[in-house]
Amino acid sequence: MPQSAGLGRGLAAILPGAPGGQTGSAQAGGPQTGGPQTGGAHVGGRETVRDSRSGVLRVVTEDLAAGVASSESGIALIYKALDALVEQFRLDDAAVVLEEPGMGRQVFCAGRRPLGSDDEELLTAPPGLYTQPALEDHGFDRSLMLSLCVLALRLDVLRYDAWHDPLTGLYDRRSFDRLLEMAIARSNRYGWSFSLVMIDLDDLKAINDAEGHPSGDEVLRQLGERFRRALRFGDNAARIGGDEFAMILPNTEPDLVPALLERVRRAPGFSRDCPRFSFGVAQCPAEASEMEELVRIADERLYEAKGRKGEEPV
Amino acid sequence: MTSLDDLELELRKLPGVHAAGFDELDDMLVVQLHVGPERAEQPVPVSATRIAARHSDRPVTVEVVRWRPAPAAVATQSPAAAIDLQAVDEDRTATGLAGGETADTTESRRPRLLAVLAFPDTDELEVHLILEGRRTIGRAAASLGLVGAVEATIDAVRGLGARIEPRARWARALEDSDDERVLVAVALEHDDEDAVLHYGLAAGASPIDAAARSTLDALNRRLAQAL
Repeated sequence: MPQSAGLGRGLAAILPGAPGGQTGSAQAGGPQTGGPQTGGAHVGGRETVRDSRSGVLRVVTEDLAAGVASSESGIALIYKALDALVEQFRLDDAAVVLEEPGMGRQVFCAGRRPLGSDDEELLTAPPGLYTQPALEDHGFDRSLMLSLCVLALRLDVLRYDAWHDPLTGLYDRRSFDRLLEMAIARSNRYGWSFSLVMIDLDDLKAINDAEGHPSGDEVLRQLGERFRRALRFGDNAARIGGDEFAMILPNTEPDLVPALLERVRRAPGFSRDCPRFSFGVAQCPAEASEMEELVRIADERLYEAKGRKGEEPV
Repeated sequence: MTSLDDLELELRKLPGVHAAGFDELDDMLVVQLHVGPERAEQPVPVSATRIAARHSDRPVTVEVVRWRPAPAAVATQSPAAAIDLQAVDEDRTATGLAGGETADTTESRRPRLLAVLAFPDTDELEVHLILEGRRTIGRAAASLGLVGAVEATIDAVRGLGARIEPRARWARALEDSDDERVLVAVALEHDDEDAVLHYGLAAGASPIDAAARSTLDALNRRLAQAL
């Protein structure tokens, strides 16, 4: 990852109309601080820019637009556009500041690099595209790039929201089905085993009836956080129904699942006790290598466990 | 989306996070977050560390840089906002979180804690520090608990070239606060001083995290001269 000098020493807004931003070369970060790094100095730099303009426009705007329409991540596209800008215009650095509802101000630096102490102006700078040195106006459509960056980030947020349950932050049912399909395909192809855990809350209806739905929602929200804390890299958890959850645990033998769920129950720092739940486990590929069969086995064991609880004295 | 994209999006969705950057140190992914004065239900370092652990199959450290508007901007805030900003300052002091970039030069000469990692499988505990862009890793036995965190912190400080040889006399967890942070006090003794103990006190996301921060707190008075 490139470690470039900060933008702060010559913050140069090229977004037309941005407060404090200017276009043209007569500002800090222009030729005085080095200018375009082309051997032939400034003139050579301009020629390079002019020659490569179509390439820049293609990478930064058309590819960005195409990427937004595809499944490529918006965040990756923003960095790709910034890196292309740096490379094509031979800049020292570039950053974009966006404002996204729900996320507030977001600063992205070329190369995915961390902000340096010189860059902190960006944290309060108006939305726009910032370069070091200042990027002259060569017909490059800055507002289009900025709009596409906003769109790219917004699509990522929408995609995230579409895949996740808003209450618990876990994956939702549709995402879980897809993840389970993929896990089964990997298991069948490479022999990678995993445990499928189906979980059902025992008392959610009673909580809703006694304390109201806001309390029930809080129970679910806290349970989602408990699951997230227990997950390791590669584990996935989802809320697949009102009070039903599921987990995919790669390389986890079924006899290890109770210990994991005990960690979920005992996780500290919550205002409410963990709600009681029952669970059933099935292992792929040892017990089943097709989705329906695997889910059926886990479900059967879940309801056996629930039945046993029903027989226990209160 | 790649795992890194997923990780970055989740981190940027945390309340108050305005920038995320990535770096690599040996086999470790270093994530730097810039966090504004917004108050979150849960401390950002705690949430971010958990998110990072879910998205990465290698060691990850999360460096949180808290920033605040310039003093002029603070003066224009409403009283409620000004109180909130003050609370952020207190939080930064209590946890020893990064903030050197916006603080005065004296503070920027002090090492900042990047991460405390425990590896029970190998009985290792690592403390990662940064001073003016230079990172060091101190190590000690994880089975030593709080004292191990103190020793690993001293080891990391030594890696920065500090000419001091403190030893841990004791380290004690004082209480668990409601916001999940743990308070730890430490006492350090130095060979060159007779029976003079240096005390440190700090809160952290875990006991070993708090112990490392307390150690820096205890060393701070001497570090400015020693580094």
